[in-house]
Amino acid sequence: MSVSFVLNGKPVVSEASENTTLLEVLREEFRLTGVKKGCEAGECGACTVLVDGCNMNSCMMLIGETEGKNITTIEGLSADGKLDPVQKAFAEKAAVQCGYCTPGMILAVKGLLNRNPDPDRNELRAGLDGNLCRCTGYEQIFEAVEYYLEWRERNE
Amino acid sequence: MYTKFAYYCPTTLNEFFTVREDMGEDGIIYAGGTDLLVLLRKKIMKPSAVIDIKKLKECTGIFQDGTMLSIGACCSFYEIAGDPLVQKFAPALAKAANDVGSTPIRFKATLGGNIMNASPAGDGLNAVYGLGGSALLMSRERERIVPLDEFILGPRKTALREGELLARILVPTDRFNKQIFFKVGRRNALAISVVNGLVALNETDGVVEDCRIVLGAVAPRPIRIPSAEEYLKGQVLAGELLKDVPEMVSETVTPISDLRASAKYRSYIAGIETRRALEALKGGQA
Repeated sequence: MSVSFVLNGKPVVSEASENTTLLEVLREEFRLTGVKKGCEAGECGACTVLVDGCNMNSCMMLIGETEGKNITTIEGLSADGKLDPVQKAFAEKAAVQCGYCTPGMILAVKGLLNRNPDPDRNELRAGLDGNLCRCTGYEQIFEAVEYYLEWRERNE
Repeated sequence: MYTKFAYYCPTTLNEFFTVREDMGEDGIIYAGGTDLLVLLRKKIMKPSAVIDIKKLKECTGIFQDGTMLSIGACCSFYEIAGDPLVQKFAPALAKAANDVGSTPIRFKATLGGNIMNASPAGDGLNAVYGLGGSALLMSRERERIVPLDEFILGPRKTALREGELLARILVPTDRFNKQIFFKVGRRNALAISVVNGLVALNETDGVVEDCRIVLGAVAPRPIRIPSAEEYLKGQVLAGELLKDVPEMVSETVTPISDLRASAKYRSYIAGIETRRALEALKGGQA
């Protein structure tokens, strides 16, 4: 089947077979390997992408469900060659160790900020409840987001 | 990785019934997919087609229909948790919806799917069951409304007839004036309930006139506690009254031991949490 959607700002068409998940399509057909395979059961968040601004597990979507949607992967955040400020904050505040959860985690942050632009620590914790990290213990991740929020306030 | 299957996405009810009839048992109904995709990946299910029902308008939206709150089967838990009508008329369901999985799961998983999956641990299922909700089923010939007590038969088993679609879930808005949902799990998110429960009361001048206690994950289907319900009717929720409730609960439930918890723990915590729920309602929480 042919499925048309917008991917990182550009209209694309996927010719993947109907029994394929969005995760597979992004990695194999579009070579966007920043989208990671983790549990493939909707439990870890490594495969997180933004679908119409909402952070969702790409392993939990069949390609047919993507018709007409606006998809952003981690690659889409730095499409112009510059790091997105949330990405920069993660890098500067040591919120990245092995890096495997990072693309999904950053997109989950973006998804949260789309819904709630000024989360407190509890809202941040709840907003990232679908993304697991085995390295950092989450503390540096929360600090990176708070650092970004402070930066954003100073620069508004 | 997945067996070969076709994907259909009917846009009208008529189209849906036609595809469904053509595919027979080889076609499975697909809403959020958060349960199904796990089964498909493990090849526990091997359909030749999935029929996505999210475009059927009969299965979407939340509105008031007389004294009923009508929730589309394809409404996501995110939509349900944030809906002003649900928050007003069925706040315990809004709370249960917010307890499901995680944020990304709640964007996708549906109440209809939770009910059709008929897991005794289902958070959405037990909340609707506890509030006295019903399933609205549509077929080519008719609509049928079945209370969940009669619709849920056992794990993964419902009273859905051939040719029927669970289209909407109906929750009475005028039956209870106090309600609460609790969930016990091994972690704060992405947890399948070890025990969950919904307690609903209709109190007039402080006296309990109607009471409904439903517990999940402690029996093959959602289970009521009639002994506790009868005990509380006609009483004022105060002081010493609640101390016998945990035992009534433990004597009624029939949990199993599994990878998440032992039967003994489930029995124990179900009783404690039911009493705590009643104590919270005593404090005036609606």
